[in-house]
Amino acid sequence: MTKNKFSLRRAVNNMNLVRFRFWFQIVAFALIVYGGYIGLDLGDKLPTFACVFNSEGTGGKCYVGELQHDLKHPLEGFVGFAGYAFLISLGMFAVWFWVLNKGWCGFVCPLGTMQDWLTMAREKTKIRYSEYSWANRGKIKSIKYILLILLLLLPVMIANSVFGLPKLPNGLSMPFCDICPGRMMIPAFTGDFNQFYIDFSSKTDIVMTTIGMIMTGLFLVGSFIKKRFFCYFCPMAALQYVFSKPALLKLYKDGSKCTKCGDCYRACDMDILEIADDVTSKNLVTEDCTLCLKCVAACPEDGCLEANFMGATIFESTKEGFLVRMAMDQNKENHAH
Amino acid sequence: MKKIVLVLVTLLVSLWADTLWLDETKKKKCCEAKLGVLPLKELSVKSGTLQENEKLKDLNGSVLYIRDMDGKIEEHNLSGSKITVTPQYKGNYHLFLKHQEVVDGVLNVQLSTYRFYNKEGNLSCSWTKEVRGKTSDSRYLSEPLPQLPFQLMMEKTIHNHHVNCCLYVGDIIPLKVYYKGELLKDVSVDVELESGWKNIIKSNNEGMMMVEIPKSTYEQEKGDKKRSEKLLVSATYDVNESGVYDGKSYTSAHYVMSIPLSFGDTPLEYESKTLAFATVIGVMLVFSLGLYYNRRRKRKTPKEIYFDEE
Repeated sequence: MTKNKFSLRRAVNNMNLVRFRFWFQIVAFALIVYGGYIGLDLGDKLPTFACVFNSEGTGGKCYVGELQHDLKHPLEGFVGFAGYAFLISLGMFAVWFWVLNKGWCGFVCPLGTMQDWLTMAREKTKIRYSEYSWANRGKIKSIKYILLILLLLLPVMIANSVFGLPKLPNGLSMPFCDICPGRMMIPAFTGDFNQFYIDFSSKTDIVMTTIGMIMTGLFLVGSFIKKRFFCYFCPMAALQYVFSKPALLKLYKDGSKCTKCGDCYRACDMDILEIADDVTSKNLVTEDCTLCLKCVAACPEDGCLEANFMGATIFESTKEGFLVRMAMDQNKENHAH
Repeated sequence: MKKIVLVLVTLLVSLWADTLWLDETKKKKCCEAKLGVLPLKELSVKSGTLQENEKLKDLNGSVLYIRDMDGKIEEHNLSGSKITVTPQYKGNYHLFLKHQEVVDGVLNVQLSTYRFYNKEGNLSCSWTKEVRGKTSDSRYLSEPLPQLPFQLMMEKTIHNHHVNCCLYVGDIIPLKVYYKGELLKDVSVDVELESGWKNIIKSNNEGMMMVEIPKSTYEQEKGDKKRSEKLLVSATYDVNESGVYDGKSYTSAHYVMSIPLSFGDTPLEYESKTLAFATVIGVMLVFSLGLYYNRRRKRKTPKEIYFDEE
């Protein structure tokens, strides 16, 4: 029994994470984007871009859309049904999120999966990837918080006069959905291209829908040349980070075992420097982390990095695992040549 | 030929004259309901056409079936002149009105259905549903209501714009007619608009009737995002069947069922898809070229330094 248990752990630690993640993402993508066709309904508080505009196929709905919709009510409405429904929705979002933490981004998010597919396409074509410069990285990181504040504030300002300012037009009721590339890209996977439009009915609609189209163009090219291009700006990532501390899935680091070799940093799609540099913190789920676990797979030290679910190690770095994966990569390269 | 036309016209006029339909009296704004107060919907029953109609003042003898999003059906015997519904949950509700009487040995069965989306529920009994966040309950019924012998059913509309929630000009409404659970294949529906336009749509070989909401030719109605107009579709069916209802015997039955709908002007009047695709492609081209030239510039810089040093 003990031997079997040990073998299972060894098999998990030695697994080909890239392949596992690739198939996991395909299954998650199919359920989120096409699940509605088989009657799947995971509710409307999902902490991932299960696009509400994919009306037929979606297997659940993104909470950001629901959040903007809930905030559009007059403030006095929040003492009634709308207020309680808002709290229940926020609570359910947190519960869903706590299960996988940022793993929603790395393993489930259909927009993240699309970006990974675009990265794979680039690698096939052998086009060089790009990186954000260190000088701009801090500014880029703050964009997601600005977007989060705007998506929370603008819907409130439609039904209420905030700080004595005039009420905003109804065209801003779902400001992030207007500009989110998921609105165009996710329904497109079900053959619905109707979300590609510019609305000329008001100035607000012209601006918002045009920004949406620009974002889609930037998303397609940006994700092709930069790994997880959009995740740096994603307000869902910012919202998730607020709830991240009590989540069940964590990325732990034992700083005493770290040699600062930098393999984890080089493997990271989000270029998170702390993963290699920080040897004092235990929990290394940062605001940009997508919990893709590439860093764990790339680490050559026994037990230095681990994915931990409710106190139990589910995947950890080992020397053996590192060598097995190195051999896999070598084989792949040999086959390619 | 003349006789057939005359019979058809007479039949048409008589059918429109006895069509009943449900009408929401006052649409409440979202979030008006306070805690502890049940959301309330008030409806009235109208008889006639959309242009010329009268409100029924006595609904005695009529039955209302309320179907919630879980398929649970409640039956209510109506009285008075208005219908009051207190939906408990947030979601789609389908109402079915049945009014029948025997006149001159003919059983007249007048039916109407109406769907509304309840935005607020009773929190004490709906909080579990709020937690669940049920999203897949449909605006369209998948099967006929067993309580209705005759039913006109609307299926998912076909459209080529981006809005999925409502009906718009140009949308195609597929309709089917069922009699005692069986699909009728040789039938037609009468379509009528508030502005006066009327048409008869016949079924295809599979019993499907496709009603395309006509475009308004009135210049002042074009491109108005907030314009809303009513549409009434109704189907009739005569069958030889005998029986006794309310102590009166009948030898034939005449069924008529209506669905009142509302629609707006098509979003395609004020949106452009071509420009949207052009914008996406344009951004992709500009961004790609920018990257390409930026990379070329960066790659050349060290070479120039190298040659300078030599």
